[in-house]
Amino acid sequence: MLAYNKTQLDNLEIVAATETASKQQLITVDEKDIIIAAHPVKLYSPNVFMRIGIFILTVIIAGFSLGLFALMMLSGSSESAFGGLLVFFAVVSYAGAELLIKEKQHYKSGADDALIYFSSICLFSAYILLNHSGSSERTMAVIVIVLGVFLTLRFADMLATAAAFGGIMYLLYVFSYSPWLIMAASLGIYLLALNLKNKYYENNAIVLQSLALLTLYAAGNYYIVRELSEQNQPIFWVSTVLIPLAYLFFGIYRKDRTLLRTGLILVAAMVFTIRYYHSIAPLEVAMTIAGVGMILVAYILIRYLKTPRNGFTSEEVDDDQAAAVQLESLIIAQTFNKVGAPPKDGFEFGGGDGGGGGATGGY
Amino acid sequence: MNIHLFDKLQRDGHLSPGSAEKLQNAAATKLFSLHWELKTILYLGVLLLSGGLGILVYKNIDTIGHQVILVAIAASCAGCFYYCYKHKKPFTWEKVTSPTPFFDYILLLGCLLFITFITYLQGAYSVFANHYGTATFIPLLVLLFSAYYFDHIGVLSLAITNFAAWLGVNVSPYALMDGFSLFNTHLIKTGAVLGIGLCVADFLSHHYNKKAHFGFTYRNFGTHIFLVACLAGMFSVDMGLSLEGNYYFLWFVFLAVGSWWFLRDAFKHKSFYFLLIVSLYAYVGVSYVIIRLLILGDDIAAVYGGILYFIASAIGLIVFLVKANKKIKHASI
Repeated sequence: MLAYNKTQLDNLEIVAATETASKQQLITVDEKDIIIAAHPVKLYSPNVFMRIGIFILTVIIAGFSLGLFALMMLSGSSESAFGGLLVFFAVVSYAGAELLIKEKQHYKSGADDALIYFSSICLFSAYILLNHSGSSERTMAVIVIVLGVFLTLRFADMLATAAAFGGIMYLLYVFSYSPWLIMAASLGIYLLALNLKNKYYENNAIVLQSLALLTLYAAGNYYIVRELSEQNQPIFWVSTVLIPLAYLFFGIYRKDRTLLRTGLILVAAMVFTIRYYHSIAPLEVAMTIAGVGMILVAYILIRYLKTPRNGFTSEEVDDDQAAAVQLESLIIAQTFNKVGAPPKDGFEFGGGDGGGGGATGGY
Repeated sequence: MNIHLFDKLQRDGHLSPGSAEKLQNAAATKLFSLHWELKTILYLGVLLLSGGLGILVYKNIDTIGHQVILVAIAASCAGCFYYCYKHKKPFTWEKVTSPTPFFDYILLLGCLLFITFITYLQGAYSVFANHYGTATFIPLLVLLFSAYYFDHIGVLSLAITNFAAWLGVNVSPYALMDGFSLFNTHLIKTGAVLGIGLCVADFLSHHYNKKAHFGFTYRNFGTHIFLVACLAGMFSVDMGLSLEGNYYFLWFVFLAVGSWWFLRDAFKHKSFYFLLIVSLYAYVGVSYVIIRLLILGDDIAAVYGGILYFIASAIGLIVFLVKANKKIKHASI
């Protein structure tokens, strides 16, 4: 089912693991060289910047090609003709992606991702355009699910997995408003994804796990239930409070990062929900107290885990953090940028549009 | 680490027993690191605390005694800096790793509290009278000093954005992505000069080997600011904001020269990140000029020409990137 060559994917994994092990000086350089020579990787899988660049440019090429054909057909234009053109483009770009993967050994190079997304968007638009009657949201969701599942199986694409999951949740929500059903379905999908032991779909399984954990909580969140069903059901206070704590507990107990991180995010959601109905202190006081509390918790944990305990540590294990530090500094520059800047006339020069990134034309 | 993978490698005879044992040990003693989770909690804590205190000060500026608030902020700020001073590693002009993740964020909190302190001082007592510039400039000096003295790239980034704000330009990453909000010829010029200045700072950091690892931050901000300023200069003519007539081509020349220089630098530093962003900026600039020239033709052929141009140029740029990638095999940021 997978479009990519499995031996090649195995080799890629082996080479990556070998390089890490060699960096940690667990194996000798000779061994590393022998292993890499024995497992040649022919895949074209360039670095992340290359991937972004190729992705953007491929979208430009595909989009303008579509524009060119649409322009040429402008004279005899009808919706069905344009719909046909979209189907044609969907087929051509899908074939292009398959060809790149088969002949040129592309693997997540930016071009294959861009082409499969472009192809599915074309197909989806063509359906909406050609189906004049009864293209209800439900059928659209079904199409998204079918496309998403197919692209997931064929290309192990994570965005497609997320789209398919969203479609399934939407259908469930439309057919039955019951929070219990969605919670049960989320739990089922989570357990399925957790037990999926196919290494080629490892990342997809993580996407599914995270999303299922989130919908499991969302469906049982008091605020969401109340807003959607317009009923006061106090039973959901239990799930609002307990689910994040359960995630945290199992995340630590099983050393499962997905559970742990989702749990951390959802503790914030829990606090917001409680504050929405039972606000004890004004916002700024709550922020200040929460800020002090979080700093203290982090401080205590960092101190406590400085020497590893029960297999946990607060120190960094994988040491390649140059990029992470730069990213962190950008986040700091962005989020603290407004703190206490003294106001003066003409200080803010906002508004307007245009400027950078207008590569798709329009000028 | 995937131990099954190495088991298989050993069975294939690629690993010596010694290495296999090392790998087994490493896998058995592998720790579960909470490093980034704890850092995120710390970061959010600092964000909430500084934000909360800011609002608190703003709302209660009339009710509580000024002195009480001032003293409280000054005391916590001093406390933060005292903690950093006590725990810091000795200063050198080389890279100094931070003693703990906690240290980084306490320094950040101290800097933010200092900015709040100065702002409050100005708001409540107008200490600096009408010299608003001074009220921004003093925190700027403190930020810059802290960044170098305690070796903190995040604080350095804050110093750069605050410096730009002092000059009147908003260069936070989001504002840059949003098109810079540079719609005033004076600001565009300021931006261009600022960009060049930051690139010079990068050059000097490397040349004198003083905190050379800060170079990336300077270069990153400098490159983006300069190139966005050039693009904004080119576009501003069309928005009827420039009084200087059709100078867009002059900005294009700046863009071209800048891009050429940055590209050369990117190859020298083996930085694929800069290679990509500079190529994309240059591409936007060139495309803009081409479109302007095509509009002069003003018929359907121009539209076809434009579309064909985009298809051909995008293919060309991909070829360029692929070739460049072969030159820069092991890319760094």
